[in-house]
Amino acid sequence: MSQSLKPYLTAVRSSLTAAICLEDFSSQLVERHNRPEIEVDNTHTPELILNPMAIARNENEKVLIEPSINSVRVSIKIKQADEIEQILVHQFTRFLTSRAENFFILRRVPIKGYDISFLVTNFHTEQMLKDKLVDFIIEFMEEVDKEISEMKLFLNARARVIAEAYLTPFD
Amino acid sequence: MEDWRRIDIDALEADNFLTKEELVPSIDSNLSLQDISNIINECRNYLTKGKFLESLQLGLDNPPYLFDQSVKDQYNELMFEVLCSIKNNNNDVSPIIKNLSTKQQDVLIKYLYKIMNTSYGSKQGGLMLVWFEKTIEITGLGPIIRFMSDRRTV
Repeated sequence: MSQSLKPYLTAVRSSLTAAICLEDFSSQLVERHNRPEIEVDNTHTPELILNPMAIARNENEKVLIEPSINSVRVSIKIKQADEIEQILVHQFTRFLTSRAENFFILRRVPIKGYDISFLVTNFHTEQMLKDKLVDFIIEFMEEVDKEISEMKLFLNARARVIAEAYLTPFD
Repeated sequence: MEDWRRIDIDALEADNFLTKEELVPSIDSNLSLQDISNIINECRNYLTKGKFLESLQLGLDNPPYLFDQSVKDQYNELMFEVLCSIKNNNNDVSPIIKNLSTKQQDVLIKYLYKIMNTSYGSKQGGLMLVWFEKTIEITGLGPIIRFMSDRRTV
């Protein structure tokens, strides 16, 4: 693990552990509704939203954690060094978000400025272990960088082979 | 007639709800704008003299909770300078963090989160994360939880 990755992941892990402390909470505005408070308009109930936490490794790698009483929204900005990586990240996150129901905590649309968002509600913490949820997000962050750079290498290697194949007639 | 379905009736009964301003607890601080700029100068003085701990403590003792965003931004930049120069001059920041009081450690975490949210802070993310990691090692998760629930923002 690289030098600066470890403090980054420790910071995210401790912030997440602190933030995922949720309880069942019915809406104060709409009768018989129970909704993730971080996702709805809170002009009348600002007391349900806690201070958002931003963790940045550099300008291109950030995590935003927005806690509230019954839900936490975690948004990740994945490293994109060049245009190929931008395309790969876009395709990769699109692949995941279009299958969001299989991932339970994945949010279908990332919030603005970030590549992928998770939404953890009290129902998730009731069904799943909190530590495992945190582990999952940390592991995702570790894996996604590896995955993207692997795909990039593979793409370049493939492009080279194709170029060679096309140019053999002129050899 | 105006579209009465869109009238926000909850807003008319103001007593039922708290506003953002009402959430902020009353703070007994008699710092004036002049005091803040004095503190900023004092902190920079300490830094040039190499008194890192004094500079950090002074900065963390007087966060401008009551002032508007421009003053807070100015103060954030000061804290950023202080944290950067301490890290650049000391290899290990743990002894410095150990010398802070619990209250000061809480405010330190507040500033670390705040600074990482700015453009200049995220460029130096690695440096801020070292501070963060060392602080959490010493204090545990307490300051993070207090940061989340504290309405006195920096």
